Amino acid sequence: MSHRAEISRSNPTCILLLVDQSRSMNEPFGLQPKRKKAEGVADAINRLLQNLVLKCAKVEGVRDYFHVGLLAYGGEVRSAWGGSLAGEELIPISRVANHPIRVEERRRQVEDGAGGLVEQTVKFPIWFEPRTAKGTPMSEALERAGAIIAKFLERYPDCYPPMVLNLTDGQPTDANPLPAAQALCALGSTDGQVVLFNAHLSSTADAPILFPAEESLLRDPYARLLFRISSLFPPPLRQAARDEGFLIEEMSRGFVFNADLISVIRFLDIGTRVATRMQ
Amino acid sequence: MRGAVSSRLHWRVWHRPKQGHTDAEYEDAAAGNPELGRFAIADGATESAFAGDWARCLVTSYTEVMPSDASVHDWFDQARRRFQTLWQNRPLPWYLEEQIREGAHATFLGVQLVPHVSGSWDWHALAVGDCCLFHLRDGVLLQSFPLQVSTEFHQLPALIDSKWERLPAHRQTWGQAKTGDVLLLASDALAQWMLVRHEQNQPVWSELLRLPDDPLAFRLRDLGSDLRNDDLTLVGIELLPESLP
Repeated sequence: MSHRAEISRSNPTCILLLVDQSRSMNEPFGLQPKRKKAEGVADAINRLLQNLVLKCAKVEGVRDYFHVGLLAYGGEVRSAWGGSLAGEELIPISRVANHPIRVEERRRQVEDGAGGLVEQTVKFPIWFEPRTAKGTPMSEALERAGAIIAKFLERYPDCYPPMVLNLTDGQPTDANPLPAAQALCALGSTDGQVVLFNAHLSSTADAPILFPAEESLLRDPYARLLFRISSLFPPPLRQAARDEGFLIEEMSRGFVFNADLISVIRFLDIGTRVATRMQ
Repeated sequence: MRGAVSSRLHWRVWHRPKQGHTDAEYEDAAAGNPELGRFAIADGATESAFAGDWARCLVTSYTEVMPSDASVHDWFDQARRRFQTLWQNRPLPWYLEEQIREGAHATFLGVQLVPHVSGSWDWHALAVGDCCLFHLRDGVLLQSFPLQVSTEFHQLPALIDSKWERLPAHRQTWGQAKTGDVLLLASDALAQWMLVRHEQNQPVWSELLRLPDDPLAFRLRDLGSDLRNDDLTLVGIELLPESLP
């Protein structure tokens, strides 16, 4: 069975985020008309990176259980890291931890331990900022992801299989992404093949469809394409998603259609739920 | 009285960090105070950077503080205060500040032994989570607490949160012991392994302890490969006769 490798400092895994930064990302989410998709996605990604760092943080420093990549495609395909990490591809999580662009303070409601909520100031590091440009070169982004991951697999051939999470709201403008996605998912370690999950971001107010098992549920031909290039759930993620209350069938794919901001956050959370194998 | 308790309790700790980790990264904790007849073990939940600190605060406070009439949980209040002051006024990176704010979690097991005039002992144990106590007599298991069978262990045991102001819901039990009995306190992976072997009628207690010559000379160096990779901790307490020094 695949996905059984322990994630350790000597055998880390890799998480690569692909983010659509085409012009249409400036539009609001269908169900949150005051929230631009580009800003919501940036918040969700910064929060995901923060959670990954916290999972690996120890008193003596941050343990490199993960190498994380951030590629944006809007106009061109580029590394989306900012600040002193600008231009880099895969970065050990300890470097991510210590080099945010800045650390903001935000107000958040937290449980007070007595059944109520209390507002607290929390640290909110920023690594990724919204920006947009014309064009959606998704196929090129998937090719670049394949090259980055192939290099990682050369170095860590026995790793827990790398995860690629793609967030997009539009149609590719460069080429059909199917061959690049297939080539990416053909890569693998001795513990299993690369897993590609896709989230289709919505500008409509329709309810999202999370992790479908059948293509026939999707009317949009482009949504069908994204469904086809999405991987089946590997066993540990299937269990994690079920534990979170998602109905995951044997043939469910890592695909979310018409995702609102909440769905994006849950998609990223499920897609990176590999901490149970951290040692 | 205290001196008498102390001289009648012989105890020893064995521990091993999970494979691939150093001693400094070990996140279980164990402590004993034969003067007070109190012993404890705790297992810090790895998600927090401060799990090991919190586990140490719990066992240290439990074994230092005798419960007063006013509150049987005085020790817990001391553990919380001890933890809160550990990192106070120290500059920390953002992720450790966040971890401090989020608190740390640990399972816990404490046992209190009280000598009886007859020469026997009463004991009281308190547990949150899946660290286990085993009461042995002549190499035979009399009682295990709080879990009795290996299938009761799971991924999400009850935990004590460092942010809580009071000790959470916990399980308690009482027992009686005789001179020569041995109490073992084990962290989860080891406790589960012991129960599996016990259920399969494989030698476990005799394999762990050099019975009857030296019950606390734990033979744990060559544990089976069926043991989960985790921090391992074992506390052994042997109840000696009154006449021994």
